[in-house]
Amino acid sequence: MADLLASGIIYGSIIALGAIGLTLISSILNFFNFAYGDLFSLGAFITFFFLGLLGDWGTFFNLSFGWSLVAATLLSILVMLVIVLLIDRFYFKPLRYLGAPPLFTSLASLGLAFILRAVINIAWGPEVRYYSNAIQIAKKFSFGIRVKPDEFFIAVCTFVLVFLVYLFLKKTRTGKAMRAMSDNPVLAKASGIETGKVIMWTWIIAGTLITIAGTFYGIQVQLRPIMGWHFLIPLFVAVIMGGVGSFWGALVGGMVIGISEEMITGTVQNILYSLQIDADMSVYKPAVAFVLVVVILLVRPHGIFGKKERGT
Amino acid sequence: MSLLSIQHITAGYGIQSVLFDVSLDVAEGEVVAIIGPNGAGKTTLLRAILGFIRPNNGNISFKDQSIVGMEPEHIIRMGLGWVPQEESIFPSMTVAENLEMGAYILRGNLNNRFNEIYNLFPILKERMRQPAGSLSGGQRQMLAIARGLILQPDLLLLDEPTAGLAPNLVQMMLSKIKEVTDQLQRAVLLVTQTLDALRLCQRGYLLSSGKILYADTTDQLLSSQEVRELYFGGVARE
Repeated sequence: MADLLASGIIYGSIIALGAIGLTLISSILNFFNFAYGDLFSLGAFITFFFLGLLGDWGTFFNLSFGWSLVAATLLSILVMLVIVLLIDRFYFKPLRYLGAPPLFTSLASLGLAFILRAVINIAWGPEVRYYSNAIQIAKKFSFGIRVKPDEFFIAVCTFVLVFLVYLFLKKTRTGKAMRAMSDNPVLAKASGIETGKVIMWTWIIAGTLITIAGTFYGIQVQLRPIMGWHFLIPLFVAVIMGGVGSFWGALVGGMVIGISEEMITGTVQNILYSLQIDADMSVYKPAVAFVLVVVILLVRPHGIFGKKERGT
Repeated sequence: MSLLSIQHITAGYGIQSVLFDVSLDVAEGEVVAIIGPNGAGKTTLLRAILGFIRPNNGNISFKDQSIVGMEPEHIIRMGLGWVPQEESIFPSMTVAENLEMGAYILRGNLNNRFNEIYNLFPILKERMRQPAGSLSGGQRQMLAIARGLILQPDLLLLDEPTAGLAPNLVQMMLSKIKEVTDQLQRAVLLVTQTLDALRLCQRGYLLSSGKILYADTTDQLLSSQEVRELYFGGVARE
């Protein structure tokens, strides 16, 4: 059980990273970005591309990867920032300028998702890829908890990143402007806050987080062009469950989804195994996420940390 | 000299016009009211001044410069402050952060500005670390006005600052507005539906169905039985 909790925390931290970016986009740009899952895949594959270019630089801390993956991730972030800023400039900005309703912009993002997935398929093909084939030995802790060095690395990096984003939003002038825009966009404009600058920073943060989340997922699982589309479900559920626009909501929502999916499906899998019933419970993970969000929204219709009021 | 001059504007939402041939002026340091029933177009007029709505016809100039077609963030930088009727704060941010966002366009040390505001509204200093969404209705309204004042705008647009407040809070809020206008000597364009708020002003415009029906001094408007009966229900709302 404790082992499943540990896996849930690792998986939840990857969801939380992506969900923080998605919640910022949803609340500041006022649409649900269905392309976010495929940006997750694209970031992971661009990291894979740079990793191939950089080659093997050796590993550290018994990880399955080395400094070359760290460097590849940083290069991937830079490329992804250019991509997301260009997408906003030539795809979403014209829609904003024309006053497209949020539903139309969300549907436009769905179209973008298909385009991005096609690009990934053309560039890398449909086969499964790995950053590393190295076998990792998990370290054993009390209560039967086993954590691989890669998982420990992901958890620590996520904690640091979340803390840095929190500091940015809480302490910097631009971060506060982003929160103001998320809270009440009309009043933010009438306070002299530059909408364009806030939108640019939203994409920078969201683009960085989704690239890192995609790469972490690639380290933890594998790379497939469809992985981001599947990952979109827990991302959306985490954002909605936590309350759209809430930083802490995205973090908690991501963790709740990750832990619940791992523990519920893992526990049922263990029970079925003891009854000698052959079934793969991992395919029911999205169902767990949906049941959870329905239960939470019935109790708190605006999400765990959601706001009841919002600027128009 | 006119600080704000609106000349014959027609404006609305999409093809639906709400304001028809509206003209008004506000001089420096003057407190002017716009009165009228619900749906008269009062808030639309303020939104047109702020650049959220572009007039179809006519001109709006501020400090002798046309502001038609300018973005709200640029108009604010020219010295206009706005306190909207609804959603006038950033609810998930603290009181202090709300004031910071009010002063977003200013750079440098703002301690003096904050101290001035806290002197005018001492309760806000006590609540400065509290999320604005958790304040009472009256405190929220004070924060909204404080947020609008922190820029020390040359003209403050106040949209029904007493709407939705309990009767005892209305009097408190009006005396606070009077204190602020007397002390700061700023021009104010006050949208209101109450006689008591109208009494704070030197002049007033009566807006109905998107048209200016009366424009006169407050005393003249208050003495007009027709105005009182039509738009304030006789003396019932005094």
